[in-house]
Amino acid sequence: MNSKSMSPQESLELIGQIIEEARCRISENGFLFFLWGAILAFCGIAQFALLHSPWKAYNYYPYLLTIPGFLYSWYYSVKKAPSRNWKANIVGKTISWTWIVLGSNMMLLGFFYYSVLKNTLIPYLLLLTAIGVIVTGLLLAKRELFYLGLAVNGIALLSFFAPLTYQPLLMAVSYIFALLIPGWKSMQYAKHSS
Amino acid sequence: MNYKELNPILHAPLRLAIMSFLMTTGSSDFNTIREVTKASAGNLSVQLRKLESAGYIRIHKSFKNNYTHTTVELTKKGIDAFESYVKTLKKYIE
Repeated sequence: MNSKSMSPQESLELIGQIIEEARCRISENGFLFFLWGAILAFCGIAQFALLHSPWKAYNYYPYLLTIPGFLYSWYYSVKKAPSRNWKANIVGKTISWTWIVLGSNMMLLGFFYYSVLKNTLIPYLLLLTAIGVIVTGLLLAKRELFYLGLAVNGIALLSFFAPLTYQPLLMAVSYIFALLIPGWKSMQYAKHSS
Repeated sequence: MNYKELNPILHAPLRLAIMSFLMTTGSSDFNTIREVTKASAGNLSVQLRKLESAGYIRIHKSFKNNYTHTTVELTKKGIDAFESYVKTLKKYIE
């Protein structure tokens, strides 16, 4: 780092550069967002297709994919994450724990509370997802993510009134826009900036 | 040009980079700050000590796998000083 005297403009530029660098480091590389966006979008589309087929009775089977997804995410976070710095600071820790708590609750609701929640299950899952996306967007100061979170929140509230057979489709669309695409974008950004 | 109103502790590239990074992360470790700022270990230690004596950061040392692990944390005084520095910068630019 050069020790020459800086102009106010140079100081502001330096602050901007460092803050951008910090955001990249604390948001891992978007892989987990991408992975869960892909898994849940697939589950939603597969469930929707099964509900409109003769194999209606098996419509929840695609969600079994979340179990290996959960195990792989844990393995990835502990062993394989390319930059582990994102967990070594308050912002990274807050984001990680928010998603661990939300994700665990979503798994529990999905597998053990279906008989209680029935056609309100997907709306509740989307509400929990919206909280995670909004918190992540706010902490990383990513406006786009924050607004996507608000949009998912809106879809979640609307889906309480949607027929059960169409809720998985709303879920798939939400996960494609709120997790899969932002995750893919972050991965591309991380690849180009490394 | 002389920017008298700018806080001299923050108006130095390396110290400003450290503070900007900590403003986003809250806390971090020595090696991460070194990677981000691309500073030498010696220079970084000196600048961290200056920020610590100004009360802008707190430095904690511990042992991890037999190595010294240094954690740096931003203080309330540091946050206030950084915000006021940015305000002054904006005033100059306007």
